[in-house]
Amino acid sequence: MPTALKKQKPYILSISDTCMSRITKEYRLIRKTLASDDPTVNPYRGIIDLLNPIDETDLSKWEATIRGPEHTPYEHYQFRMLIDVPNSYPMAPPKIMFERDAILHCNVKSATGEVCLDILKLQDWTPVWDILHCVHAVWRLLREPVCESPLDVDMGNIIRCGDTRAYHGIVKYFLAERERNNQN
Amino acid sequence: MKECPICFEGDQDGDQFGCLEVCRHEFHLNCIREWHKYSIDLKCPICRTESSHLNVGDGQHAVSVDLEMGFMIKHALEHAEARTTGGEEGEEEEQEEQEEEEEGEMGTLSEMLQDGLVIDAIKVIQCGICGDTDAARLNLYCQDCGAIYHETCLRGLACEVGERNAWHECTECRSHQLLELRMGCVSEDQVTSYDSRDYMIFAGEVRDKHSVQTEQMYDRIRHAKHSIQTHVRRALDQYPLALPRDTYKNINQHVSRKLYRFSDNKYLPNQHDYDSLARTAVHAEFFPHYHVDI
Repeated sequence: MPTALKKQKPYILSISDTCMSRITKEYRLIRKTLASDDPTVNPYRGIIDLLNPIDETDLSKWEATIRGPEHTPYEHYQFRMLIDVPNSYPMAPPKIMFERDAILHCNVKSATGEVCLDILKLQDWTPVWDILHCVHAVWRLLREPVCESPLDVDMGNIIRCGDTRAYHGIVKYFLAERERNNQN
Repeated sequence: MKECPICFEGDQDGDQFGCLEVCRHEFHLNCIREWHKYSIDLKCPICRTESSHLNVGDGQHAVSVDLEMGFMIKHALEHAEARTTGGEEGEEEEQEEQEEEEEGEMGTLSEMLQDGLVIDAIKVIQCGICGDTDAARLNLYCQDCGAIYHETCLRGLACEVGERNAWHECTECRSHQLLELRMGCVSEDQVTSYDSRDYMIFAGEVRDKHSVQTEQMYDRIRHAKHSIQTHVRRALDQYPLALPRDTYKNINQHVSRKLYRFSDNKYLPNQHDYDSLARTAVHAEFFPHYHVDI
């Protein structure tokens, strides 16, 4: 009887459309927000320096640069992130990665740049969040590391022991080294 | 202006808003239902308050959509699909060729729908509008996306939106290809016995009354298909010509399907002589003009 029932689920197509229209809207909003000088409109001043699609014609790959939060060892450094927006966005979360070997943090796998953040996991994500929120959440992660679910176990252990001085020292050393390598 | 927090759009396209029963947060009906296809619970995307119902429309046209029912059915379908595809992969490693041949017999759920096996699957599907699962009265299905409806629900909805005559349209994909749904081999009393109580037991737990029934149903179908195919293979092996593998495979698949349909997807060796049926059908495959009625 229903030989014409199509194998492909129809919503795959439509979600792509939703993804496109939503991400375009977000892009417009992000540009407006980050360009503003008014701190009530743009609370990200001094936090997010840049958030752009890498190529204007492809809104599925984004880059972001955040500034290290004050009173942390990351202060005065910039961190670049790559954001991958899946086809099923906003139903599925965007993927956020730091650049390789660019940061030392207990919730980041330094060698790959992978970030462990609950809201970027499928089970905690909700579609009302947007890319700006996610980037901001990663910035907050730099300020408040979560040592209960570390990707870098060594760093997690140092924090768990309460040895903040050691943690700060290692991070500062790592970042200074990174800076030196970049200059060479 | 109202804006849907999921797609960031307003209501310019006439998209309907729905409001979660407990926290009263509003979303596009399509957006929140799409989200429930992905989500792991029925919590509000904004405040994480759980709501089991979604209110659509206001005044006398208000409808309360039962989210729990659809959500449980989603799990049931996922479970069934994982089971069928999971089984296939195991076979694949052992005997690749065999698996290829058998692909047509026991594929994923969507393939089963395609194969005319929709009859049993209907029990786990609900009306796209009222969410009711009284399969005996579900009488229309959308040819394009497989959504199922009560005719009365579609007509009622059309009247509500003031387009009395435009009821013949799928509310999920806007297709006009709505066809009549026949219940096939399932008798009416069998169908009505799958009422909502079975699903309620199902909540949260994968292994329960309903999924056991589903599993049994799959086993039954698998067994029937396997038995019928044995006959077809025998007929093919006895065919006087040596057949190239591709031809063998195609004919095997084609004839087997014919036979499943012929005997209502059941294996009834007492009623039909499958060996001779298979032989005739195989013969008809080689000589399409030589008409054999099967």
